[in-house]
Amino acid sequence: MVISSFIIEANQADIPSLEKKLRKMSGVEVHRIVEKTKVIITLEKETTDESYRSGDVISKFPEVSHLCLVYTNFEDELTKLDKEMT
Amino acid sequence: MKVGGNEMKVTRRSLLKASAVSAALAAAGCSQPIVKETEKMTAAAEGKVSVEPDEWKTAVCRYCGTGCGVLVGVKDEKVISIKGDPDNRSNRGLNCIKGYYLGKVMFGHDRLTTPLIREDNMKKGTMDGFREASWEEALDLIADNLKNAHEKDPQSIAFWGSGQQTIHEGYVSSKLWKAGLLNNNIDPNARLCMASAVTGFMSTFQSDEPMGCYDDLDEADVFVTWGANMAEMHPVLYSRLMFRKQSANHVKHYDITTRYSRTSEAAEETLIFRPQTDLAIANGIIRYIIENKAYDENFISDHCQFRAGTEQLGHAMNDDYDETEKGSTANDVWNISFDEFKEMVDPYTLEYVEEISGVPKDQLEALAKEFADPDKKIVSTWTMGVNQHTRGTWMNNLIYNIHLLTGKISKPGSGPFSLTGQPSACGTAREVGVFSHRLPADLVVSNPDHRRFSEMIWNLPEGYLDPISKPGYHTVKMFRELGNGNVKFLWSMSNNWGQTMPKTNRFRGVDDNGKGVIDGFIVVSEVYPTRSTEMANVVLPAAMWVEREGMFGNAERRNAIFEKCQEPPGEAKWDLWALVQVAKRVLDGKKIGDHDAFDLLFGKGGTDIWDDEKNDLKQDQTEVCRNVWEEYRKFSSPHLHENEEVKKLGKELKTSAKQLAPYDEYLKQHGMRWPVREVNGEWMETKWRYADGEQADGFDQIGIDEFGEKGKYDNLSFYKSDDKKPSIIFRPFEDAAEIPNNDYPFWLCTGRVLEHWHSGSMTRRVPELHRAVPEAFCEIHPDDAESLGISEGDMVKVKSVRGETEVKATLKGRGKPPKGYLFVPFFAEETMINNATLDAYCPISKQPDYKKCAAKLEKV
Repeated sequence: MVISSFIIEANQADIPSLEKKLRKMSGVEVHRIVEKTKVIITLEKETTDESYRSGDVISKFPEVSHLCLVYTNFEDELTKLDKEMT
Repeated sequence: MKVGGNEMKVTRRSLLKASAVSAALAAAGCSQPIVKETEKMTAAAEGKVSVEPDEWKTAVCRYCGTGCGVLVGVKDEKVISIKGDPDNRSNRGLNCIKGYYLGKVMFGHDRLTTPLIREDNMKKGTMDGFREASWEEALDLIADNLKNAHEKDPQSIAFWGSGQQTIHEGYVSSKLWKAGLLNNNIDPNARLCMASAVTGFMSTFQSDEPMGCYDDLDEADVFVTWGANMAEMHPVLYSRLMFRKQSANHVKHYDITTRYSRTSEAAEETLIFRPQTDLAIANGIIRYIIENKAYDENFISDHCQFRAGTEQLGHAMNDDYDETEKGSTANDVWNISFDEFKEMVDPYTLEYVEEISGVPKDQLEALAKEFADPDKKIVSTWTMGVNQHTRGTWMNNLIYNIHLLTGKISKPGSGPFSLTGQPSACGTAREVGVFSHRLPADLVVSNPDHRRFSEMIWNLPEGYLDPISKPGYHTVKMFRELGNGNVKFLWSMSNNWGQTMPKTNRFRGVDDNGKGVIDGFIVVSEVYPTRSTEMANVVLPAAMWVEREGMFGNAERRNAIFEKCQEPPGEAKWDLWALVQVAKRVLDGKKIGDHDAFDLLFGKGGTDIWDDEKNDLKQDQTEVCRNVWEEYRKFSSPHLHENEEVKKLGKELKTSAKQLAPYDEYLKQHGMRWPVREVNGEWMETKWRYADGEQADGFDQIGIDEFGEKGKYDNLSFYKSDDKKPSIIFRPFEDAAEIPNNDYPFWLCTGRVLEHWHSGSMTRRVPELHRAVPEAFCEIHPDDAESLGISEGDMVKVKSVRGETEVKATLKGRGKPPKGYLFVPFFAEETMINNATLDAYCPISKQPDYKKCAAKLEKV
């Protein structure tokens, strides 16, 4: 499991439509809108490559003026660790 | 929370998400605690599980020149996570999407892990004909060949460095070459991207690097991008530009470009001009400002002088250009009056500029009016469109002219800002002086005082550096001489000349005679096999990015440390270790005065990075880096030196205008912008050079106190400039070195794409980046395609008089070229577009022009 977070920048007027699209995406969770123009999301995917692909899809939404990656955890053993813990 | 149940599994993921959201909120400037975000996260935060790595280490992204800070999560000595560093003031916690693969680029399946020695010279040009070797054997072989070539002809050796070498690696390379071998044939690949910016700064301000910083992006009213596709090449800075636009409705962006790009998409105005005529556009704006008396008279009176320089320079096509009358006087400038300047610029009416540039007069006027408005704060940014230009220095001068005439410089929110393409083009290539004509801290080899100052810092006898008074081979000259058979030994590090040099056929030894490259002895230090390792006699496997400790210096004068986070694979080693090992062998038995040469340069008598007992580089990389830095720092801190002569000469040369802090302070502060000053025991950076004000607020208080004049107009004092006055230099429009004609009717422009870094040697090893842009392409206007019967996806041959390559045509790429214009990126080693490009260079900066030559297109 790779978990990432992004700040997505968009015009204030485009935020509702962007939020709608983001909420439909698998693995995406919208957490907060900051300063009316920055959407904070997390993304959960199995691999870095899948995460990159989703990031790329988001970056191409017409509402998005910019996508900034902030955090990514790609620890291969995550699933294994989860099992150990459960 | 149920330990041992499903709830814990959710909790762990939630906790990871909590970390992810916390980082994002911090980067977005929001400090509310994440535990309030969701119930699950609250539970997670209260739990006993930890998803934190063993340690977060401080680092800097290793791609572009923005210099984004990152924190690298290390667990069991492996990199497991990366997040933006909110304490790095360059990016404030934000990264572009390439950040996903910062870790992954280190794990390509074909990393070079063992030294390779070529056994079969006839197989040069391929990765065949090598055998694996020990480091001992490889280093001995390199040292023997270097020594032999140097003894036979000192001019037959060369080192090609990089804006991707760390500051420490660049410093050691330069010291070995200049002081150890008394040789100036050392130059960086930054010659290919930043040299025109350097000579622009030096000719206008007599000091390299910008006066402003990224903070200006947050306050500007108008942005002007000149030949810069920031959206793809500097995405984090572009995001800052976009945020400024979103937060203030009046902010406008003008994109001046030869091809509509992603950057143009959000610009209010895009000015598409015929290649090379940016020279005319800038002069048109200048003339408009003068005609409308919109210049800042007080600013000009207090802060500017006018100059003119050698014109009708012709073009550096032939090997002997530098020795011709024009080539040898290209740098010359002389003072003129403002009235003379007005006369010179008078032909550049907006009508005339429209006629030659193709940009409608209305657009030109709208842009000129922005500069003419005294209340507007304007930031100009530029990169390769301006620098990779046969008049690159002139274009840099012209942008400064506009900002100087209007006084829009060195002020928060207003200033010309030269962006850099590589992570340490500034820190390493420019500041350390890994150029054939330079020494550290703006010093140059041709100035006797500069050499004397360097001799004193390096404990060398007086006059010892006199043999390096003449600049050595600049990059194009170096490779031309390699091709002529005059360079017998070449060592390249952190670059890929076999793919990125223009007119590549010649530099790969596949021109008519094949001389030099085939029979020369070539060493390539690399992390992956490349077009350059194919040409090598010895390949040295290098540690990359956080596999060793290092430091980069970015575009806004910020130096930042990256810590070592994991071991390099196999036998791969730190380039600095290899350099010092070769130095030890080459300098063996040599004396400088009464001293052992190696000890004086790198041992206890000098940099102190050698462990005599172990007969090896000191093992502690932090200690090595700190010792290198502290010696380098003496150049810009002469006042701290024990030698009074150093203090006196350093003050005369104003080297502390680039003052640096102690090494550990950079780790503590997550990078700092020079000049860095100690105020009441605290080290403070400078955001705006030459601007008087409190040092604590980012102004250049100490610099002005020491070298400038207080109370001048706008509280500025350009203390490094001749007579404290930067030069407004008249630079005319002169046409391109090669212009499309009947046989070669297209302009050919080359460049990069977002997904791939330079020649793709790292990013193409990442499957997803490779999948995103798997091959090069040739952007072509639909009308041109139709007239040649070319459809989307057809293979075409791009041909110039120098060479050709086959590539897939696209009519709907990200960029939209105008008619008669082709764009081909250079990242793909199978699409050697540089076979077709031109190696003519700016006569002043010696930087070649990759952005324009004549080509034709044939459907395959």
